[in-house]
Amino acid sequence: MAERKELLRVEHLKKYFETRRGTLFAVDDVSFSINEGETLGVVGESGCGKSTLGRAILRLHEPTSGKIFFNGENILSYDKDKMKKLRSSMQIIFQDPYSSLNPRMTVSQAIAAPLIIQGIFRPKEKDEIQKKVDEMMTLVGLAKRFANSYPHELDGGRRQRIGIARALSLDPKFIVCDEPVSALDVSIQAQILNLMQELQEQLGLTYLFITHDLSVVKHLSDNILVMYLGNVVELADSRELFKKPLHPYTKALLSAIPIPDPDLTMERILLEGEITSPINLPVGCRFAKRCSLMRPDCLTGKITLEEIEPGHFVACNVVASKLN
Amino acid sequence: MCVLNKNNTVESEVGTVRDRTLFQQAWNQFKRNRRAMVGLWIITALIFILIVTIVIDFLTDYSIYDSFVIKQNLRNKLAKPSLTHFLGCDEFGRDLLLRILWGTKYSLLLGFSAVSLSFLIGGPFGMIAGFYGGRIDNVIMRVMDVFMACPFILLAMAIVAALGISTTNLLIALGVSGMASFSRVTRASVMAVKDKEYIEAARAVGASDLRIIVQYIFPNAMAPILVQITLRIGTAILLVAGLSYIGLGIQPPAPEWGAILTSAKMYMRDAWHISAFPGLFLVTTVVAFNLFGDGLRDALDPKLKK
Amino acid sequence: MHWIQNSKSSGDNNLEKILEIKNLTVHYEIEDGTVHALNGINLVLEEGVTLGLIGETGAGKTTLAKAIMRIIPQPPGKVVSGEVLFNGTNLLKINNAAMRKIRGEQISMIFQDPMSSLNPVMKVGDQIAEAIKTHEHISSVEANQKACEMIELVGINAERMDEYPHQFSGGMKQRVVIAIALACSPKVLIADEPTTALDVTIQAQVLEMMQNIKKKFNTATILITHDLGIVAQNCEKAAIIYAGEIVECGGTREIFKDMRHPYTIGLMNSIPKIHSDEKRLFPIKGLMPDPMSLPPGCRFYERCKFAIEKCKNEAPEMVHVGGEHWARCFLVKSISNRVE
Repeated sequence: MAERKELLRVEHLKKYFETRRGTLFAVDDVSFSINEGETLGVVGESGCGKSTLGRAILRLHEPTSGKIFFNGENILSYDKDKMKKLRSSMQIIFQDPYSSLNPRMTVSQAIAAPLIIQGIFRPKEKDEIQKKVDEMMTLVGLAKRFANSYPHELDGGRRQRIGIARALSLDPKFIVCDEPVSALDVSIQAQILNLMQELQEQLGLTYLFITHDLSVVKHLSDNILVMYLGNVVELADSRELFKKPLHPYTKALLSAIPIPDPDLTMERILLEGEITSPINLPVGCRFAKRCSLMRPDCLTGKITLEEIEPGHFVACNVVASKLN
Repeated sequence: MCVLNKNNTVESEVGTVRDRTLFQQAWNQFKRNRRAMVGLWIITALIFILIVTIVIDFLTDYSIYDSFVIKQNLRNKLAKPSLTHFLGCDEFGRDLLLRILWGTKYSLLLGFSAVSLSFLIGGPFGMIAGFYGGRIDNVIMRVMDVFMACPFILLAMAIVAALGISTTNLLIALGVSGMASFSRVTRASVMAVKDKEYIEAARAVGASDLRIIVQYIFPNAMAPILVQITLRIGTAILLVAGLSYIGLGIQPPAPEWGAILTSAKMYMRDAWHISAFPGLFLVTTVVAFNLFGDGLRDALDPKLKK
Repeated sequence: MHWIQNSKSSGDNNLEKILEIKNLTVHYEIEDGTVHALNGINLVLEEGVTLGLIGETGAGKTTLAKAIMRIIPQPPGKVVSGEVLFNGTNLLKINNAAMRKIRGEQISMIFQDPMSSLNPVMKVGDQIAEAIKTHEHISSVEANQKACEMIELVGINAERMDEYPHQFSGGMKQRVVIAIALACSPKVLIADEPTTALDVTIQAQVLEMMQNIKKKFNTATILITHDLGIVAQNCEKAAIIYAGEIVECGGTREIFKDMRHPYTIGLMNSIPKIHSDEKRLFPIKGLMPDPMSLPPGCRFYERCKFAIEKCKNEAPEMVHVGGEHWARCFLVKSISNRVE
């Protein structure tokens, strides 16, 4: 297989929010890269920072520090105009099909909006616009008769297709998918996931797939990044992660998923306690208080992401020392 | 309660998706509310009266106005309601019904203009405060707080007293004293919409702040503002009457309803009709606007909540 | 990671029936027409058993739960026919006072969103105590004592009795909700998607806690969910609901090992599973039919890949598959996802 080109590389990305109660370390020193045509799954629970990460990469939230390289160039140094042009290459699909569409715009208007904003078509060129909109609707499997419908007249699955069509209308190379199927019914989820997979194969798209559901991301991702309270705790090839998870949190996450087979249970690892607040975090490992492997040095030392095996990174002192 | 949206059509149905605009859908919802429709009918009747009186004045060059509404006819002083004068006559013998009809334009036009002015001044401030937040929000809102701290009537009185008694000044007084609440409503409305994901989606495509405010936020924030406008017209009409009543608004002999009421209060015992009928018209008008506003809110809100 | 084989016993078949729903039909009369929410539901729940009710949005599962509790607003709701027998008594026929006594004391319900289930201006301990005092005539002191016990039972430190809901996380709030529901040791608990809004590790904790409590109180539970995994791991019996009808029911093992209804099979094939390797998912095409205009034949006809001509105009009845396993399909004998 031909060596895939690196499309996105993120280095030491940080996004902090200043709140009244202190500093919120939403994304704290995250680094990874994605090759063209591949999917990176970003997994974690509430407060882990995955949604902020996705938005920070698109500069919808301005990163506090770090570097983001898209096609080799650091986009954090782009000015407003260059950034606007870049947006046609980097897009986002949102989680909630109910609030991610402007209730006052019809399906056609919603899909056409990016084209007009980017100046690809002028509002007067109604025919060209309609042609492109039709093309997009067919691509995502939306029947033409919905062209003049409003979002509230359609169900969740169709609304999500509109969101996908809107994201694709600018022919982007890279798409951040922020929990695109979490708000959908089970049988519709499969439809949308298949659609996204087909589109990726057809158009050569690169995805950053954010989700809290590990099973959803398993067959769609090439690599998976597991986050906890703003840090990366594990990064590995998708197959490898499921076969051999190393970080205690990843193991707990996997074991918590209920399997639809009454005869099988995962080796259950029940976590103690609750997820702590991402504000004013303590020094050391953020997972330590809930971890069964905790040692004294987990609470004091700096935990770094280390390559334990080729392509498999873990941020855990205990695991690192055991395997070295 | 699990009630599905009726438009959840199955793939095999052909052409069942209704192509109605949002306005038509809101109108359908509004039509079903009987009370709101009553309000609408009354308002339509009043607008009709308004247009007819203005047209007559224009065509007859105010001659009918002068001879029937203004000219005194002391023979009919304080006449009770009869067949020739349906609502009786006032203390100067002028037909009360005609005076009330001709007074409609003051209430309606002034009420509407005052509220529009409040909205045109207060709205943009509220929008900017809501959209940008932070220090800008703080400064604008604190200024508005100062205006809100003054009792409305006192503020209006102060402005009219300073600028002099005229219709324009009355309008300014009403407009300025109402702008604070409009800025609040607009700000709240904008803030509710600002963090929605479709705004983020617009940003993700490179939309500028201006485009986002005008094309995305404004149309979606309008519903509460529209309701506020209609409800406030009722209040404004009452205030116009109120200011005229204390002599700071429309001056006699103009037949503004509040002005009629001022002079009527002296004759309440003997000629109750001069107070009752203008009062009745006032109340009906305000109630009509309230019913309309309520109906409007019901027609617009549930759809938006989806 | 490896998976452990479960050796679950097939269960005691001689249990008392505590809740029996017979032919329940519920409609909603709205301006645009009639919503046929439930159509002839038949369900049996035995003492101490957890029944998983699987269904998607619009299938009628919440309506069913509310019908049992008699909290469907009437109008526009209307119970057209059927019985809800609790210990032999038809709940639909008793008066309001008698029903109020049953709610919370004999049958409890918990809802999906813990954020809105709790009173934000009342201390957590007080809310549990209030539930107890409503049904049992004991003093405030005793009620508080009991509330303390309940809160510890659900895994929250009793010191937190005097805190307000907003001071708790989502998982903790749901635990409080469960404490309130179980405070009077009801015979039946209806849990409507109790963990859908929670993170997956918290969900595991809460479900584990519910299992332990269930064993202690022997509470029969109807666990409503769309998650097949939760049912497989936590429920002894299962029922799948589609467009207001039960399409398959029986023991959990019986069903999962030998699915007979095309919808159940379709659901199973469309979910991503971490314990198996798959390249593509197999979604069910189309959407659930509009409950205001249901088709004359099988409700699943439009989306069924096994459908034959008969299915279009004739509605199938429940067919016995074996043991307690029933499925509503003409082709029951020839379809299966049987796993060897």
